[in-house]
Amino acid sequence: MSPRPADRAPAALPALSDPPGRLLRRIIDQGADLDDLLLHRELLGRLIRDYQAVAVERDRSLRKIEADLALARVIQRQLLPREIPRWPGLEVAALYEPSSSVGGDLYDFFEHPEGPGIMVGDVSGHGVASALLFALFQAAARRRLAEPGALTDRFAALNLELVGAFPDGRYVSAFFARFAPDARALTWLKAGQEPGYLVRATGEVRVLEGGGPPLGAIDPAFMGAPEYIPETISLAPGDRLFLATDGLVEAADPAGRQFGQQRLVELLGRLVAGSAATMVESVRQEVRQFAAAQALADDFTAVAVAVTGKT
Amino acid sequence: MMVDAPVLVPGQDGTYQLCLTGKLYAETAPELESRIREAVDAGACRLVLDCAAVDQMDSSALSAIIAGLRYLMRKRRGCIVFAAINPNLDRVLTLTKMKQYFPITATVAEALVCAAPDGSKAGQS
Repeated sequence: MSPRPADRAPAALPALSDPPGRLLRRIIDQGADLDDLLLHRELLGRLIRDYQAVAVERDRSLRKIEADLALARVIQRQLLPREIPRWPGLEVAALYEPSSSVGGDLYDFFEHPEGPGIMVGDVSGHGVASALLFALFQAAARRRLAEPGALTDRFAALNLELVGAFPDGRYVSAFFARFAPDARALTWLKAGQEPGYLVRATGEVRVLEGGGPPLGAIDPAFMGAPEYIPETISLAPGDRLFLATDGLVEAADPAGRQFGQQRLVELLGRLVAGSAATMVESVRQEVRQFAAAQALADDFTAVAVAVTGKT
Repeated sequence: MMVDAPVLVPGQDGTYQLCLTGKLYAETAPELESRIREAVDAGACRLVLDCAAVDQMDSSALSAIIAGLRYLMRKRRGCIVFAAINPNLDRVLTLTKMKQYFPITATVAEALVCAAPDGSKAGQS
């Protein structure tokens, strides 16, 4: 018969993180039989108490992390513009569709002498860090884009600032759209973001591509200066601009299929009547219906602007 | 879904291969960046990312790879090649305009040939 526990120093007191199965294995390997195991009651009782303590501690840590994330989510929402701007000849609508995680989606509005501007963007990654980078980006973008000079140079300066401010590799993909003061032209610059969509009054949808890499990603000192080239297109009353982050086209249905760009283009082509607000709301409903009961894996942001022609 | 840890395979003449699997997401991004830095520290100047078994890549993972490229470029001139990417990865690299910074090849074999010293530079897809 193996020695009683009392005869043995409990030198092999298992670490708290050991799985229970391995602990029992270890006790049995030490030569204990079932009778011995019963006599290990004190040790087992202590282990159970230890595990309970660990579980309580983990539960407390988890609740603290969840509370931090909830706070980050609130702060992030508060960084989004509180009011939708009223611009002559234009009607603007925006939505933010949250997901279960803290994302880094953003939209912002700018009032510049060259005309009103809109930015829709997405900070790489998720979580509290993305919310912090979001705030940093927003401040830098508002300052840099208000500076005089060509849009290309302002984007290059913004990229350089973010390369220095962001941790290596983190970036913001963004789509910037600026309307002429008379709302007869649209200038856009896409920086690694989803394309924009210009929906003509006829239902024709033009995909607005071009531009350069995401902001903050490419360090000109070692990788060459990234080029940010804006493009311009004329507008007419009844035209609509639709911008969204990737959470929209990547929203998945219960079978795992993505909403996709083609479905979005077809949908936008049907939304030629109604306001900009109707457009974003229709898209939201369509995506929710597509995803069915599935929670969105990623948040998404969408902004629609209708050219009303009314000043 | 189980995801295997990235496996780093040292090659000759500074060409290393990193075999990736599953979804490249926020959870796996830090380890991905560590493996790339490890390869660079070991002397890699060309790193081939074997993506044949990769389903998806999110912005966290792309950030990690960009961080790895920046680390490499600061140390020495070199490149990171994406090999055997599926349409999901192709979409991400196209949208973000990253194809001008990362050569892309259809297969790993092609990447290894292209990344060889006499192959100068891998071709764009």
